[in-house]
Amino acid sequence: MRASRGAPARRGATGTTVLLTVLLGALLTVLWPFVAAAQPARDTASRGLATPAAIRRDASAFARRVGLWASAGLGRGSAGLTCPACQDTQSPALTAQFAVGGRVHERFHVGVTMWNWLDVIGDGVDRTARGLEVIARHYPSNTSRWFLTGGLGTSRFAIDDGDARFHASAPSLSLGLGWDLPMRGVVLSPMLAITSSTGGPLRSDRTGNAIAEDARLGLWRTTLSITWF
Amino acid sequence: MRSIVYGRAVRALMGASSVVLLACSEQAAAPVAPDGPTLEAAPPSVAFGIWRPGPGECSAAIHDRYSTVGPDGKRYPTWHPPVDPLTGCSFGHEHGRDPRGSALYREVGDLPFGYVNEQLDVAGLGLRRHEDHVGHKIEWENDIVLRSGGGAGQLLEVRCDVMTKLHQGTHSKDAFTNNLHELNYHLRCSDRTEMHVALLTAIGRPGEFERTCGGTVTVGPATPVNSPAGGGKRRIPDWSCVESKVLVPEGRGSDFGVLHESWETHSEVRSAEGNRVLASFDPYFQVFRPSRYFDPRQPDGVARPAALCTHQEHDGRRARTKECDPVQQAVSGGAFTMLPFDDPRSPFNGARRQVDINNNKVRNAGGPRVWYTDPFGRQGRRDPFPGSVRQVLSAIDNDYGVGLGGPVIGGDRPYGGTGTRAPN
Repeated sequence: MRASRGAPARRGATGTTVLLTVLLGALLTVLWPFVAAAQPARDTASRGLATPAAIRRDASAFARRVGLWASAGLGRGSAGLTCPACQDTQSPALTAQFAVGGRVHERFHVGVTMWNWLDVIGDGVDRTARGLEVIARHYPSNTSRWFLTGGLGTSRFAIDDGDARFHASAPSLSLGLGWDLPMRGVVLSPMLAITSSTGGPLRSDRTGNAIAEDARLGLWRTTLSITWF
Repeated sequence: MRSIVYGRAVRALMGASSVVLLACSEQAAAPVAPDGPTLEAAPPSVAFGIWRPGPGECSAAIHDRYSTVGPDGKRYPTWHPPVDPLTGCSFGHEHGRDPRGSALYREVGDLPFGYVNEQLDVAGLGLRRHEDHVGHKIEWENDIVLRSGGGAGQLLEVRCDVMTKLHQGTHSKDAFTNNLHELNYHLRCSDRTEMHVALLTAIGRPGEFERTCGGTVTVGPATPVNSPAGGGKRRIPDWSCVESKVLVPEGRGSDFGVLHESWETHSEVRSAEGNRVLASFDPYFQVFRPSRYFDPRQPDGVARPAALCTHQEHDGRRARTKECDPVQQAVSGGAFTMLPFDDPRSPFNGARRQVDINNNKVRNAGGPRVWYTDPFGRQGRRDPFPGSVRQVLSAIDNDYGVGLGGPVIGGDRPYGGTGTRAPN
């Protein structure tokens, strides 16, 4: 009954995928020497040449770091929109995040982060989420490797099947938990974060009309970041 | 998982409550004869009072009580049940689903059958087109889901209330040539799409129709002769379809699916300034087991499917299907007893229908909600003019780049009731 359409053109997603692949490669390239260097250290530790006290000293040194820092990370995450027009289609996909900031206290850092999430779910459909947030990171103690992080900013969720494109933008809040692993001047940080947005209209890029008035983003992501001080 | 189960439970509860509410609303909407005095004072429209009862059916006076006053102050026939609840008599025809259960009924009200046809008389276009009474068919559904045909359709949906009324006569020769038919289309969706449109939709070209089994059949001049052509098509079965699909030799089964009419409409509301399309929609109206097919050998081209059940070709081919069971009342010495085409026992009464909801587009961002157009939905202006019809469109642009299509509605609701028969 309805006219059939050709395969939707792939726009945006391909470029983003290539970008994320390049970033992933770059991150692995940067990380590899540290990972390789860490292996003998663990061997040394197993031979008794490193002690828990030495590790604590590294952590303490890390905690005393001052000045600006920058980080980049990759991981997996799952995002979805909740709205009257939205189907429940949470699925894991690639995430990336970048952040810059500075230490304002031994246990308190602030910065700005940009995170991205990309899901290619077939039939030419891409879902992307991105956020820009002011973040704060808190260490429970000067020597703690655990930290809590929170962010406040704006997020955008988009659906694109090549013909129809919709997006929802709204203020968002992120909360996360991470752990620092100091290594030769950088820090590896596995982190788990959740993000939620306030409701916002889900609009057509083409017409600006809202297909739903109250679309809320929900996102969780696990990330492995590397931080330079 | 837990939330999914919870969600399903909530939806199940909501569904159950909807059923209860619907039952209550249909009970509350139990047919009541309209208030007389106001109607009595209204001058009659051309469409009013044209129906004549058959033997044993409700009187015309009972029928005429089911009327309403149109925007022009005239009295028009409107929906009524197949059987009058006050007297128990049958009208012999039906108009589809009781509109009072529609979520749109409160703002739409009773539909005046033939109002747009009436406006054409005074529109100064040199055209006149009136249709019979029984062909007006209402269908509606609340809270249907529309999705795009593209990949985004698996992620996003729009929910709508929809109500349609098309004059779709499937018992006479009218639609063999005439492509202008009154259409009321009401839609309100969760994405703020809204349209309340009434027009004469031009379905295909005048003077011809598309054969259900393929090809175009040219019949003759239309009424009016200068009817404009439109989008879509009227698919109607003809003798060649019957001969190839229904009349079959022993050992084969007849395909009565070919006795199916599909009126595939494309309607637009356009502005006078720039001839801009303000809204468009493509509902398809389908009728199963109509009471006619086209046969050029007949004087008026009208042949009856019911007669096929008692017809046998010289080479022994005939209709072989259970569809004919009600018609083949008796077999005596190999000869069937003929059942008149308008007998209520015939399944070929046009009471099984469905509507496909397709491509509802509004391109009226920044525009007024109310437009006045000519009876064809053209020449849209902000102020009324002679013969104009009031159209309501939401002031949005919902052209997302892909058409939103929806479910088939009405396919599970045969409207044939006690006494319903062709012509219907």
